[in-house]
Amino acid sequence: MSAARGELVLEEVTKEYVTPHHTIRVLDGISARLGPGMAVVITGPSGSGKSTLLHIVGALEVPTSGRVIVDDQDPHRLAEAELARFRNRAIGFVFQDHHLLPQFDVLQNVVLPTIAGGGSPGEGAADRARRLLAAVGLAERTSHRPAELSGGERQRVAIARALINRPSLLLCDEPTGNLDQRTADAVADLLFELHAEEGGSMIVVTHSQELAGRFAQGFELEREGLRPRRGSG
Amino acid sequence: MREMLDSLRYYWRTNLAVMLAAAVATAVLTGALLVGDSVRGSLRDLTLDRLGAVDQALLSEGFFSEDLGERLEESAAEVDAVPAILLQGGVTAPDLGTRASKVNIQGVEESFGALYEGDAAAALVLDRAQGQAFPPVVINEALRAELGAEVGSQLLLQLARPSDVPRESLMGSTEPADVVQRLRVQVRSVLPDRGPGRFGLMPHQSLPLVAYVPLADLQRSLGQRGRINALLLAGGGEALADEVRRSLEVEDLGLVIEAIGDHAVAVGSRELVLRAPVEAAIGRAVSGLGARSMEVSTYLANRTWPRELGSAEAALEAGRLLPYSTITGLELPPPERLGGPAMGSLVGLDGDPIRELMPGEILLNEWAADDLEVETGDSVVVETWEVGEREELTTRTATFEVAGIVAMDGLGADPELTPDFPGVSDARDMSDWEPTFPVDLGLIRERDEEYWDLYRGAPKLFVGVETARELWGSRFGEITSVRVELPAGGEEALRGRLLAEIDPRAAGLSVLPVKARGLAAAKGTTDFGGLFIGFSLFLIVAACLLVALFFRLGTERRGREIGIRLAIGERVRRVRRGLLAEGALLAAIGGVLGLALAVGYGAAMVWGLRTLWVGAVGAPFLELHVGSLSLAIGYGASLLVVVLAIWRAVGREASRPPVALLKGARRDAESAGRSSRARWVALGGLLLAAALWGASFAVAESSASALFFGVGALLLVAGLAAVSLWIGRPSQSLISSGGVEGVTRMARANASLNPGRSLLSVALVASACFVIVAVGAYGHRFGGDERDRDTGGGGFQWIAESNVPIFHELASEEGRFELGMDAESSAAIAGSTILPFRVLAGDDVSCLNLYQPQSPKVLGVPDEMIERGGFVFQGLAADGEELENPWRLLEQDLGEGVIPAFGDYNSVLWILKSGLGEDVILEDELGGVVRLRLVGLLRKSVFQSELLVAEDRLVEHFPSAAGYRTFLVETPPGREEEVASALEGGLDDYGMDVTGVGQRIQSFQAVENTYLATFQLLGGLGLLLGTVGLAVILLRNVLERAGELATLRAIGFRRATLAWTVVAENGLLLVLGIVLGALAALAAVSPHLRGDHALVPWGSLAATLLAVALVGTLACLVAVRRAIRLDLLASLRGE
Repeated sequence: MSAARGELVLEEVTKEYVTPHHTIRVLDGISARLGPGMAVVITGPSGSGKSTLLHIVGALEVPTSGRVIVDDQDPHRLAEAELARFRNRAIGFVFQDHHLLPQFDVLQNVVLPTIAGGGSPGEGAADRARRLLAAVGLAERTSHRPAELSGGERQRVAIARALINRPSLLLCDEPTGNLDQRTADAVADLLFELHAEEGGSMIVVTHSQELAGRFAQGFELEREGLRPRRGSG
Repeated sequence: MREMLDSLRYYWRTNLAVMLAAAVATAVLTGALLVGDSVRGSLRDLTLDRLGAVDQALLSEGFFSEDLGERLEESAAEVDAVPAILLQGGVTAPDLGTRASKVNIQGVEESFGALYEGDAAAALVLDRAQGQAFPPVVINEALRAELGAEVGSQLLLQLARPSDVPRESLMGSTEPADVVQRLRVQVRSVLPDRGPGRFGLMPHQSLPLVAYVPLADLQRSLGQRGRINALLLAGGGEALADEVRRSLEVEDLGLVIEAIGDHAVAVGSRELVLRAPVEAAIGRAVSGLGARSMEVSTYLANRTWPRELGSAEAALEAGRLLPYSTITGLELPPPERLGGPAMGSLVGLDGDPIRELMPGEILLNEWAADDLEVETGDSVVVETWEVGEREELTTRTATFEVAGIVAMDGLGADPELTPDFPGVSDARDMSDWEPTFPVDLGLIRERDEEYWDLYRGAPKLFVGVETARELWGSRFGEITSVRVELPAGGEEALRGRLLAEIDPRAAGLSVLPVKARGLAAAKGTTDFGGLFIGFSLFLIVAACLLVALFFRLGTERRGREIGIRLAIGERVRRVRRGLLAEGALLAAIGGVLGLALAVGYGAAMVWGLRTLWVGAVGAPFLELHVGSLSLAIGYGASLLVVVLAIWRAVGREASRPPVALLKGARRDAESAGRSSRARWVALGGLLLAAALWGASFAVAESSASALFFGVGALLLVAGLAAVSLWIGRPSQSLISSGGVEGVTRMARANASLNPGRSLLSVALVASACFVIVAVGAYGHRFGGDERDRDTGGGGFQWIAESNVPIFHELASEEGRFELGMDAESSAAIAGSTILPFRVLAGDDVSCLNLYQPQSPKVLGVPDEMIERGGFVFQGLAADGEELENPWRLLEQDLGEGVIPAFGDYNSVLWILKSGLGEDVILEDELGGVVRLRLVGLLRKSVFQSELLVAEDRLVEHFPSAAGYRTFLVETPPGREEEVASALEGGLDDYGMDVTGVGQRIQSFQAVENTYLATFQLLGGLGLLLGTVGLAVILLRNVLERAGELATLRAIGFRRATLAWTVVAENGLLLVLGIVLGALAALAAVSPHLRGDHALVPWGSLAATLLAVALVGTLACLVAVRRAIRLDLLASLRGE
């Protein structure tokens, strides 16, 4: 495992949305550096641009200006095929809505990223998926369809899927937003546990103070930039 | 209203799609109706074009005086009567070596051109050009092209020479020189193929070959100076027939009235014998006048001798043989009317009138009694000719007791009792006789010449008229004249009464409302509107499906809006009504656009009928006709269908719970138990299909085909159930699959996401492919063993048709000699079986005739054919099933006025709209009606243009069906071409045309095959449109799964990979549908395919299916494009 896995550099990242009548600047020259293996939470009020920042980091959205460097690579300069490969290999995403594919069972949802490049996942990937599912407490539910799972279980499957390719960056957008407190705590436990086991960096965006409070390092996103959260180092 | 307009404007893209789909539905439905309008309208135009101003025609079996026209014009001022001779014959161009048969050869005067407006008849120039040696002929472009002739070319017209005397009677001539008339003419000009250039009285859409010659030249050539066989009548209404009748003279009816002294007349016929209905009418006229009459029937006795001498040879030896004497039958009883003073009397040698003549008795005039040396009480033998069915002459003898000797006075020496026998009556001496029957002139003695000089053809022998009827009566008549004592009003009174009593039809004269009949027939047998609606059904269904799909897509996009409206308390009914109103408005606007497109669709179909499918229906004349009623019906019907489709779509969406709508949730998953049901359906379908397959071996061939269709349909159902199971099965593991396999597995998994929708897509494509392939593969050609009697060709190789009737046995060497056939041709034909059929002219009842047949063509089936049997029957009257040879059914006695008949199944069903056991009613030549009862239906036979009845039954009702003009020929193997050439070459004068039986059947089959091709093409178009529907379904799937697709991209799937997944999903459904439908169809038609007659358009079928696959894939690319352009984040956020 590379020592540099999960290093993130943001340089003057700006994001504007242009409407017919206005230009809305959501992010205004955000700069930050995140060392490898770190777990960071980003909080902020609704509309502050937390999710936008996460999407730009995850190469789902292109910044209006500025640079994003992940493990020495700027994904926004990549061609479509390389960008897809970057998302597949370097990034693991956990969304507020799990976005599992209802037509596949739990195991296949987890191995999906391994076939994204057109290759065969093979038994190795399946074994890893089973291990991850065991780790998230769903060893017995591998053949179940998403519709047969609870909300928390679905989110755990989504976490397993995000980790299947051992990403450098695990990006979680309100991972507990749709869950009750107890389930949310369980999912948060799992995230920390797996982060510790799998390595890489983890950035969680949330407005949940409970979840944010469990992170050693955190930022408050403001228009001007990332400001360290009070109480976090 | 404003709210509705805002909605329509906001969702304009979807609404535009709905409108366009509605427009397509309206266009196709209305366009199909316009095809019907166009066929009917064009046939109507054609009728008006070919007939010009001719409304009715007075037609005669024989010839009548052309003065009748003038008389008619005098009595009916508004009528123009144009004299004409209308015949059908052959034309050869000797210098070019070309020939044409079935040419309408018409003798007309300049006045004929006035029947046409404008310059249509400008080229009808009938005067002789400077230096032109031969009469001019004006031909139409079609005939010019057929012959390759030019203006100035010499042509030889071959015609059947008319004969007053029925040719098949003893006095009729069948000598080739008397039967065939040739007329050399020179082309003066060429008419375009319109107006007079397509003149003909029979309604048929095919282009006729037409030749006009000056009436006077044709009359001279035919020996009919001053006589015509048709009056073309312009103007005059329904009462014209009565007007014609009032203008008739007795002579127009073929009667001849000759004075017998001052107080009596003899009413005879130019035909030599009086037709039975005419004879009956004369009887009624005489009774009506209260006059006395006497029937006379005169014939020829070949030889007469005293019975006591034993034989004619012995009598000849003894010098007591009376050769070639006329014998007359006189009316008996009542005897007191015999010998009335005005009509002549039979007086005995004692001077007393002879009042009694019993059956078996004979009277001899004094001259004959002296010659035979017989007295009253002796017996004499009389030998006469008997004419067989095929005109073969045999002799028959009858023995009579001499009841008395008649003095050589009055009727005893009256040459007026004998009609003018051709070749006999006008001979100076008996030795100059050139009769139509064989005579041994060596038997004629000096005494006979003396008698001839003194008494000409005065009968020497007298019998009762009933005896005469029995001995020499024929189907043409039994009486040669009726002597009538003039009533008080004299001959005029008798003439008036005769005209009142004789139905002109019975005398072969009829007024035919040709224009009214043509226009009625122009309604056609086949409703092309209905036919093309059938052909376009898939297009209509596909368009309606699209309307529903687009509309549903639109309403689903508005699911949240509907949910909110329901959530804030709006009633479901109001929401539904609002949506329906929007849909109806869209459909109404789309329909208007569709009407404009309908004209285009109709024009395209008419163009197709004129070009692609012209070989089958022969309708290059078709023009687009747009009927306002069709537009209204098409608009109304399609609006109804489209609104119904929208109503269903609205109902489904508005009935969903508001919460589901607000959440944008998918429809509930499939109901539980679907898979087990599908399993049962699949299994049951397969078992039933197997059972039907087994049963097909135990039933008749025709039923087996139906069973196989069932097998195919069941396989389709079972297959769809299997597809349902396969789609609904848990997805296969993606593990260990990569590349194409991985994509395919993902595609299948995606399809299983909404199994109902996927199954519907497969079912639609499969059903459409099933019908298209099954119908398309049902093409037929005539094939197999052409010597097999149990086929549509009956084992015959050729069908030969002559322009001029043939009166001799083609099958015999003697007959061929009589026909003037050269020895080489005759030898070539020897060994062939040639069966002759009499022809009663009439309308073609096959599918080749677009007009509705008014009076079908009928063939008289000879005994040899009935004896021989053969052909395949689709259906037989109940008692026919037991017969080894079903042709025996034609011999059945079904009672007075009913004749058993056969027809071809397709012609009877589709053209005559009749069936087994039904009657086809015809007016016979006896002034009554005859019912042709269909007792057998042939299958795909060579007899599709006509009905068949036994020959003897035909001539019984239609005595004028003279000679034979259709022949079926079975040649020795390997000599087919030699026989055909010999028939055509050897009988060139008769215009013999030989066609392969297979070729003839194929020409009928071509219509069916073309209809199948049309269905295949339009069905294919419908299927293509349906695949657009598939793409819509797919697009909807893509939109519904936007989040999933975005997730896949977020986790690293490339756009191309996702595109492939979508293409594969659609392709999978498409291929499944096509393969399943095609395989089930092939199973359904497998017995047909195994047969020798299948003409499967494999190429076009494969092309249709391939086009469906390609267009489906292309349409799917729209969905793909949408899929890969989805806003990733918006999709992830569920926006």
